Formats: sequence, structure tokens, C-alpha cells
Amino acid sequence: MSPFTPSGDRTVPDRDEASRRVKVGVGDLAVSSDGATLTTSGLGSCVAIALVDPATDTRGLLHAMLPSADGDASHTPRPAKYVDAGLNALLEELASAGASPARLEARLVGGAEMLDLTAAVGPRNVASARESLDGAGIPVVAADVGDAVGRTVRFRPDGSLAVRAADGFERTL
Amino acid sequence: MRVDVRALGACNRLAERGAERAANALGELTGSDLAVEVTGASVATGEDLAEAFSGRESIGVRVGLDGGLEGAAVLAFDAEQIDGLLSVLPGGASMGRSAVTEVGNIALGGFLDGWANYLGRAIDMTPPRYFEADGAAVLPDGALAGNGVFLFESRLDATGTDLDFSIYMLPDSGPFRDLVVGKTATAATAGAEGAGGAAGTTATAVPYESLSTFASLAKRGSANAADNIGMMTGLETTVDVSRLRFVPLADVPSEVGTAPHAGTVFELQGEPSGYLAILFSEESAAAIAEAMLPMEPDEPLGDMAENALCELGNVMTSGFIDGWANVLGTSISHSPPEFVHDIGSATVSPLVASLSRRQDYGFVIDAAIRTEGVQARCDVYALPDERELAAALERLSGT
Repeated sequence: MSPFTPSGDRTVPDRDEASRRVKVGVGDLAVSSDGATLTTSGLGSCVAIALVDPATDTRGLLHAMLPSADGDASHTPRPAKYVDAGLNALLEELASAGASPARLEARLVGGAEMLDLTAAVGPRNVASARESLDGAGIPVVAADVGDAVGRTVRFRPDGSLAVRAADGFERTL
Repeated sequence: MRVDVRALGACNRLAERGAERAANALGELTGSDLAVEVTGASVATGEDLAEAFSGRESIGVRVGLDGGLEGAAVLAFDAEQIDGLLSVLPGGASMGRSAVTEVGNIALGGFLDGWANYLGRAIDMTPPRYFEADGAAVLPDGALAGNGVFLFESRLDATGTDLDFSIYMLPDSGPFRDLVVGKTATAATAGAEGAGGAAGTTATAVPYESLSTFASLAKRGSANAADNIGMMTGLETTVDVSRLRFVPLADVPSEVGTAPHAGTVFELQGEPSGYLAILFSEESAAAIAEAMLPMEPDEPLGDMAENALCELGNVMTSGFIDGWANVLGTSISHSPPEFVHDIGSATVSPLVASLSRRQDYGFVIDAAIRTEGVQARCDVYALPDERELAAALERLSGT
């Protein structure tokens, strides 16, 4: 392998996505109020929470790895690693970008059971996401979760979420 | 003398932020969006680095560093990409060499600003020197002479255009050693953004002297694995790269990439515990499986191929961990193989998630093993538990 293998994820932007693209990494989040497409790739057991305030077109995307920040033993806690802490961080950023918490709607993707070795990480992430969103009073309007398949998402400026599965199947939430 | 893993983490965050500044500087200059994909510190011997870079041609600039940080830094583009780069630069192709030098100067300046701010000391940069280099000649002077040197590297990726580049920084070992092991190590940890660990948390420390052991861990494991493939398949095998890097765990999936992969994943038990993933591209997986089977399988990656790949994974993993156990003087065992066939990054994300409960950074051993005759190549990602690996190394050094 060369020191860094080409990631192979350099897709040609869709025609309707000539806008700026912001990549959200693993354990990361991003907010856009300027029409950028937010993307995150390689969702396995991780879960992506996409939030939009349709009135202001403010959108945010979180790619979290683990259900809960409780018991974090790493040296440098990073909220976006976790579903619960990451959602709080995302809500704060959305609010400062002008979104109204009362108008937010959520779309949920990922949480696959990729490996028997690490069973249940995916479903636990999904359960934590539903619980945290419920606690924040945010309705989940669509979800594509579970199974044993990796997914890649694009959160478009119009608030729709394009999901592509590893088997090539594509749907819009 | 110990390398505090948190201090190393703090240094890595600096490299990461420096790379972000470099990306912004270059993004403004070219009008394209650049994102930092991976930042890591690798520990490798000169010989490993020479192998890793062989066959690559690079163009870029190099600068010498003095003051807050001593050593050398390099910004490099793949030679193949140079036309693409020139097309997005003001002045275009006619500017050639001077445009590359200017870009390198701006980006490296951005990279080093981050370190200087943090160290509270200016870093002097010598005027940039343009170079065209074959193989490992791209690396900062001194990288190839080292016996276990730290090399910081960042890969930046343009989302719109095909424009990637790497920054390599090789700090002089003396002053850098002070940064990660001396009094400054404590300061570095405390001052780093987000470090905020409670006082009294036990730090994971690795004896500085074991850096060369690190490098040999990577090497011994991959050589053993390659030998085992050779014995099993009768194919001649080569280890293209094998090294140990210290990276933010969250970067590992994006490094594996979103292309479909097939292969096997193992859980390791012992000292250290952790995970090992052996990933092939779909074509490589099908080719190696076919070479192992007595007849052509009905489907390229069906049940027969799956069995063959699991069998191959088993012998490779045994080879790997035997190599480590020998170096570390510990015993390590592995779970049965689990076959995976999916987006590469999605496959490794649950492994990263599991380790992330306890650590943000990880020592990743990656190796690429190639077979002759049958065109197949795999990447091996070993993700050991940081504390257990450090403990094993510490016992080994007898400190």
C-alpha cells in the first residue's frame, strides 16, 4: 500500500449538486445554512443523524460511532463520537446557525450489524439516536437503518437525504 | 525516558490543525475545497520508508526548520497530478515551477503557524526549495537514515478536483524527543485543546527506546503473514509496505476508503488485544480465491471464495500475531475469521468504534502484501489496544 491508499471515494458531483460539498468524517458533525451538500461515507455500525429546519433551510449532519458518552475513558472526549453528546453539540450548532429547535425534523441512517465480532453496536446506536431525538422532541420523519450493509449519504440543500447502500441500491429519504 | 501517548496525541492534533491551515491557504489560492483526510505520525525505519515510496515520483518544495521546532518539512504532489494542479493555479501552466514553489510556501507556512502558535515560539523556515524526486528522495533529509523516526504526514484531498497532496514533517529527534518525553510533554498535554483529562489519570507511556521495536513489530508481522500466504498458495509474495503509525482512530475508516472490499476480520486476545482486518479489493479477492480453489468458482465472491479467503485470513493472522508475540515476548491468540464484503470504511468502523471507548488515537500497523503471478494485493490493518501494547513494550524494555 502506498502510505495512504487513494480512498476511492472521489465521486463526480451530481448535476444538481454543483454546490459546495462538505465531508463529515467519522465522529464528526457539520452544519450548513448556505446550500452546501453535506456528505458522509462508509456508515457501517455508525449512525448518521440528519436534521433540517425546513423554514430556514438550515441543516446539520452528525456521524456518531457509539451510543453514549457515559463511561468515556479516552483522554480527549469528542462529543461527535457519541450519539447522545453529538446530538447535543449538533443542536447547539444548528441553533447558532439560526435553526429553530421546534421546527427540526430528523432522518436516521446506518446502524448496521456489520460484524458478529462487534455485535449490537449498530442497533444500540440506532436505539440511542431514537431515544435522544425523542428526548429533544424532534420527530424522525424517515429512517434507513439496520441490516448488514454499509451506506453512504448525501444531505442535499433541499433537505432530502440520498442514501446509497454498498450493494448499489439507492433511495431518497 | 517515556513517550507520553497523550503528548503524542497533542502533537498529532497540531499536525492536523496545521494541515487544515495549509488546506485553507491552498483552497483560497485555487478556489477549490480541500479537506484534510488523514494525519498521522508514522514510526518507521529508513529502510521501510524507502520501500514504501519506491516507484513514486513527486514534485514539491522542501524547507528547513529552526527555532521552535527543528528539522525539515516537505510538501509534495504526485508527479502525475502536476498538470491538474497548474490548471487551477493563478497564472496556470506557464508559471510551472514558480507556481508550485509559491503554493508550497503558502501551505507550509500555514502548516507551521499552527505549531508555532502552540509552542509559543516562532519557527523559522528557510526559503522553499523546489524539487522533483523519485521514490523516498521526496522525504525530508535524514528520514532514511533513522532507526525508528517519527514522520508526521497529512494527506489532503480536494473534493471538487483531482488534487491531493501530502505534507511530511520530520522533526529533529533531539528537540522533538524533549517535546514528547521531557517537561514539555506535560505542558503539551495540558495545553492541548480538548486534552482536559482529569489530573491523576494514568498516562499511557511508551519507552522512547522501543520506537525501533515498534517498527520491527510491523515488519515481522507482515513478513510472517506473507510467508504463510506463499506456503498456502504456492504464489510468490512480496510485502510492499509495512509500518506502524499513530493516527486518530476516527481517520482509519476514511483511510480504508469507500471502495468495496472483501476479506476477513479477527479479534485478538492476549497482550495486546485488539482487531486485525485483512482487506482485498473485490478483484483481488476473487483472483486470490480462484488461485486457491481446485476449480473456478460459480460466482467470483460466493461461498467457495469465502471459505478460501477465511482460510487464507487464518494463516495470515497466525503469521502476524506470531511475529508480534515473538518481538514482544507475549502470547496472543485470535478469534475465528469473520468474512466481510462491503464498503471498506463501513467494515472497519465497528472495530474503530469498539476501541474508541478507551482511546482516541491508535497505533495502526498497515501492510500491503502482493502476490506475483496472480494479481492480488491486500491491506492489513492491525488495531491493538493502546494501553496493552504500551505495557508490553515497557516490559520488553525492562524500564
